[in-house]
Amino acid sequence: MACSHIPTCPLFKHFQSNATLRSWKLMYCDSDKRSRNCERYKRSDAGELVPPNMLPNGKSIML
Amino acid sequence: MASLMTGYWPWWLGAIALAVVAVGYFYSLGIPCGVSGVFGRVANWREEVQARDTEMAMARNAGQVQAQMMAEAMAALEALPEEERKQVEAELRAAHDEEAAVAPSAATAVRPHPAAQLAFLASIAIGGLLAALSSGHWALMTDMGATYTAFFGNGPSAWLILFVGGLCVGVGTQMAGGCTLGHGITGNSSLQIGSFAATAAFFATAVIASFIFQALL
Repeated sequence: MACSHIPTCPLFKHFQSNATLRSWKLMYCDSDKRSRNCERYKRSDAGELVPPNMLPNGKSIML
Repeated sequence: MASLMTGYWPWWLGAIALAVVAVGYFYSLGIPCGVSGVFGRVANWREEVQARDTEMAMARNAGQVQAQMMAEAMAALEALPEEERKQVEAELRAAHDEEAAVAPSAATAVRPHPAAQLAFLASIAIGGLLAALSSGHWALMTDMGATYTAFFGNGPSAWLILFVGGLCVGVGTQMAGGCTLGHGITGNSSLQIGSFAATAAFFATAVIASFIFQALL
């Protein structure tokens, strides 16, 4: 089963835009087990605000 | 038309109205509709504004964002244990043939300003007031009705119980990730399994509590 946060995850659409970015989806979104390693998932699950520029591995996109 | 303003709406008309609000909210603002979620975003005003500014910066620099995400994706893939990395690469090759790419421009949504969320909350109260005024049923009340008064009286204890009940609702919706609107309408209509469980739990609790209170009356 895929990650339950997909409908509300603002980054998920990015993960479908090309083959390289799709690897995020495979590494973190496509299974319930893998999604538990996602830092965005962990923060959201703990009721914390998730920075929009935080990647699933916890690193931030520099703007 | 006059009957719509003086009594309860037919159930099906109310259902259509709620569906229009839930679907319209999602497609106009890009986030699921839920009162507790909206209230939370208003309460976190400063953080919401910061997050919105970040999203706007991401939208303005979509190319740069995508390049960083691609570089990080490759680094994250390289960092995986070899067996897991090979599995992901194999899935990636298979997915490459099956899935159609989505244009990057579709991926830069920006959340609404919390002022818009506040307007939504205010409109709920204003809508309720207008409905009560137009039906001729509006009256300033300081009690919660006969049943509530029979159980809890009408003095400070009744207010205290309301306060404690309100706290429980706030904590409960935070723990459950949503309220009756968020889970019951938005979550269920988008087939969220967690929303099915949450809705079943709070409706079952309400039915049981209702039977208990009726028995005690």
